[in-house]
Amino acid sequence: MSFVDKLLQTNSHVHIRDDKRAFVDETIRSLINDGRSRLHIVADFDFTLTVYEKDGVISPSTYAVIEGNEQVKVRTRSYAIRSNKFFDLAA
Amino acid sequence: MTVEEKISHMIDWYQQAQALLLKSNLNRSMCSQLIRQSKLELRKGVKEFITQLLQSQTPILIFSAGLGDVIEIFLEQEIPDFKKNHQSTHIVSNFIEYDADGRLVAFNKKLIHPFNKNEYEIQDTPYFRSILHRPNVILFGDTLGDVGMIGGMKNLKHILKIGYLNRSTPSKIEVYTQVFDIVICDDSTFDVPNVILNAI
Repeated sequence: MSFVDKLLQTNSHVHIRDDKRAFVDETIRSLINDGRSRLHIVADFDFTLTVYEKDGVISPSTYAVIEGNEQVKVRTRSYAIRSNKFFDLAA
Repeated sequence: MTVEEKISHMIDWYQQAQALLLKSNLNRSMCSQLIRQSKLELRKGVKEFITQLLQSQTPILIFSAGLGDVIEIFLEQEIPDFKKNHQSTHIVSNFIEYDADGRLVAFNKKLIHPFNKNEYEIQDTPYFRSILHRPNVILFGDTLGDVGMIGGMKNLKHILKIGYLNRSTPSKIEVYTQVFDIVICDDSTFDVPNVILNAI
């Protein structure tokens, strides 16, 4: 069984388009053959390396950690309005 | 709204946010304390993933339109190996500049926002040199624009794009699987990336 077949079989929440399966399988095979010395990683941070929600509550972004804090919030008026505006723009 | 209009509003948003932060007298130790008090949490398995990369000296670029200081301090708090030595880790993000007394005085001039996360931003970084002989890349993102992070990288050979889809719906899965090679839905762990990394 191929790496991708096994990955999909053991993880029902993982999706690959049917017409990309052969490509993904071939890519992973190449990554394995070439090894770590040929590899690098590029990652987004907020909600990629961090959890998106816990118990139904959305986790903070790196900006929200600072801005959403009570000590800082008193000095940063209309925080909620601005953060909503931001997420509308990013969508 | 066109992308140009969105970018203009977004730069406006960042400038307001940064101006307000500058007034808040925030310093690095307060920053560190706020992060400890916050609900910021790495996906389960990210600590192992990054530790593996550090131990095999595999470079990782964390590319964020968020606050770089928070990312750096948080990773130091969460990952002992990262605190010891993170030369092979690079964070391209918005960083606060402090004065001699540790007070926040300014932000770096080159604002990173969700629409300019592309290779243009890493041209002059040490990271760019560290990947010259590494043509294979695994990319991780949670928004469609994140695939742009490798947009202008030259000489790449094998590229694997992995997308985290939070609050998935069938129509979002359809769009995400067009843009990313592998889409991981509603998963608070980094188990799947660890399976792939461990095979390499």
